[in-house]
Amino acid sequence: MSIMLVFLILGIIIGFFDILPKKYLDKFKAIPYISLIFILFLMGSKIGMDKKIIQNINIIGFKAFMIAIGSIIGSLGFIKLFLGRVSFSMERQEENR
Amino acid sequence: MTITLLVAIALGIIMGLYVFPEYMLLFIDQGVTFGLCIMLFFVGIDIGKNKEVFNKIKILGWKIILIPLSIAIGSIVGAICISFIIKLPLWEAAAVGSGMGWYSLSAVIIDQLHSTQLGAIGFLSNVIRELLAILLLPIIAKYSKHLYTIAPAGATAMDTTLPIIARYTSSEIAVLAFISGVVLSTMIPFLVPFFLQFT
Repeated sequence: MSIMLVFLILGIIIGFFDILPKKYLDKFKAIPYISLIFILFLMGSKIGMDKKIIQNINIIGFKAFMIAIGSIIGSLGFIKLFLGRVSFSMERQEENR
Repeated sequence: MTITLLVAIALGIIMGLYVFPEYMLLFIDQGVTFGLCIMLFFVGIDIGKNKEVFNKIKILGWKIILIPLSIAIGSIVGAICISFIIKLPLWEAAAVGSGMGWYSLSAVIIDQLHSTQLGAIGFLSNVIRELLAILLLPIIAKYSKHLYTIAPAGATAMDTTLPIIARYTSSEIAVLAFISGVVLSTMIPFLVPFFLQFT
């Protein structure tokens, strides 16, 4: 994983300080999308080759659905808890300054 | 665009089931690592380029950071609570939950660092989260505070669900949603491996 994080941080630094000129970046626009399609294809084939996943697809689907529900309810709950009474109106921010 | 990604993964599953021999697994893993490095590099450039986000945070005050922070904590705590019901190890559920809707990246990280099985759960769970967010958004916007629409969207608030948030709420909320999405997307590549190291 560390090698991947190195690439991520390298990218953030390059993006933040505009090290690569925009005309080059526009040329490479399709690369991250193509690599994403490539990765997902490979991930799909790993799933297909794993008999245990294919046999248990119902259980896996159920667990996935439940975690999705749990994290949605959790994030709604914590937003209400932390920010239920906080106002984010930009006009009020202007007045305060 | 999402359709293309789903077709790619479906095509992969079919190839894995019927075409690819077992010994290809090693090459596949190397291919995923290689692809992930390239993708993360460009994701990094995108994150770094969003300098205006920092300016907006300055103007609106640092309490803005509380939005993505609440969403991250809520997603992880929610996933951990569910883990006891579905009998999934706590940290594995936390890793899946911390994907926050960014199914492509979080699922591949889980697949590489843990197992293909948990990667599949991560992929499905975060796809479902995005779909549910799209379905729930108009309902939440109608019956509750507009701020709450940002919560189910998670990391997708900066791209796929942003137009929907903008349409059903206001431009003010859309700005907050975008900032929240950027902050969450920056956190995910660090959060998911963090939880997986406990498994």
